[in-house]
Amino acid sequence: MRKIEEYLKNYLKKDLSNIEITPHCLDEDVLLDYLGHKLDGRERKDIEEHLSQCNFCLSQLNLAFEAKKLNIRNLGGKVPSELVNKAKALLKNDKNIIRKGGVNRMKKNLFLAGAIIFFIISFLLPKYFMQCLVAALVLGIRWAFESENGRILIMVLDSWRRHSHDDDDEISNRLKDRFKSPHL
Amino acid sequence: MNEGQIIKGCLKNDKKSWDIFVQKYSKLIYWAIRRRLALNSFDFKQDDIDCIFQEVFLSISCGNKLAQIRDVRMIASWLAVIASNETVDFMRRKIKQNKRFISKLPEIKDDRFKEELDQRDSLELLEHLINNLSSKEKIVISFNLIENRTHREIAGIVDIPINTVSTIIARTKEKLKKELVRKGLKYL
Repeated sequence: MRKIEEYLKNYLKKDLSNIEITPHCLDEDVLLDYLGHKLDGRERKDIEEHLSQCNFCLSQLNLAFEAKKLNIRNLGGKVPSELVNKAKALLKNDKNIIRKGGVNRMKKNLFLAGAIIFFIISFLLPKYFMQCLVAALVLGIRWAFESENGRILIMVLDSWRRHSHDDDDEISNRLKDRFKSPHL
Repeated sequence: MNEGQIIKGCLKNDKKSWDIFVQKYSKLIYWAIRRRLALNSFDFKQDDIDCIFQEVFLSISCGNKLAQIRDVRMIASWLAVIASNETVDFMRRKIKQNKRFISKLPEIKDDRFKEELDQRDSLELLEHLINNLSSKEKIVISFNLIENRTHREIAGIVDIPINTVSTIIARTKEKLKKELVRKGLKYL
């Protein structure tokens, strides 16, 4: 019977190292609701249907179960104090980043506001039309170069011109990062 | 301070609550990261663990992630899954960059037995047998053989009586043995 077990184990473990998450994979809330027996029969059945085919979600459920059973105080292994201190400082840093980000954004938008104001003034004061228009142009260019959006736009146009696929990838990654970033 | 108060404090950006939270759950998160890396036989370095550890706390501190916890009593499980997810993201990034690989799992050691299995197309038989199990039965067998969970633990997870778990495991193994013997396998 031991060989049967070994054989079964090897068969079941064949795609254990797979870390591809499908759209059907279960998120932490669903896994914990299943573990806490908070779902009705129909929902449990649907989840079990997925768990029976997905070794990754099964191992996530097992991990959640192990963590539930653990006595955190008696857990072996020491976390470097430097790491703990860095994690503690994250909350403080976060606020600073947000504050700094806000100030920088305001500064960049001042160039845009200045450009618009000078542009409007150029029509209101025909005597200084050219001077105001040049000032609006300078401030506008400054805003475009300071702003991340402007730089991305320049990269997109440049990439289209050169048809370089490497640049396309880089731009799409930067755009993704920008939309992911919580501070922008 | 209990878990609920700590989480409430963290959500209000209270530094003291955050410090307690980090101090209390650092070991658990560290453990979950190492566990996921080991489960996937991922070739890792100490720097990788440190990096993932920071990413986990960063993801928790940013936004309202802690507000998503539905049951405070399940916080240990919740954090373990969050840490595991971050670890998987990290592994995927490294694999994509072709910097690291997942090592293959060990194969059956008994060559004579393995050879016989291959000769007699037993893989198909095993596939057929496992595919004919119900979802619940397959989960029970997987928890028992892959995760080495006891019958009592499996009963607790799947929410069925212990006797049922024992019956499923014994029945499946017996069925497989019978089928393999019928196929003419000697070295069982």
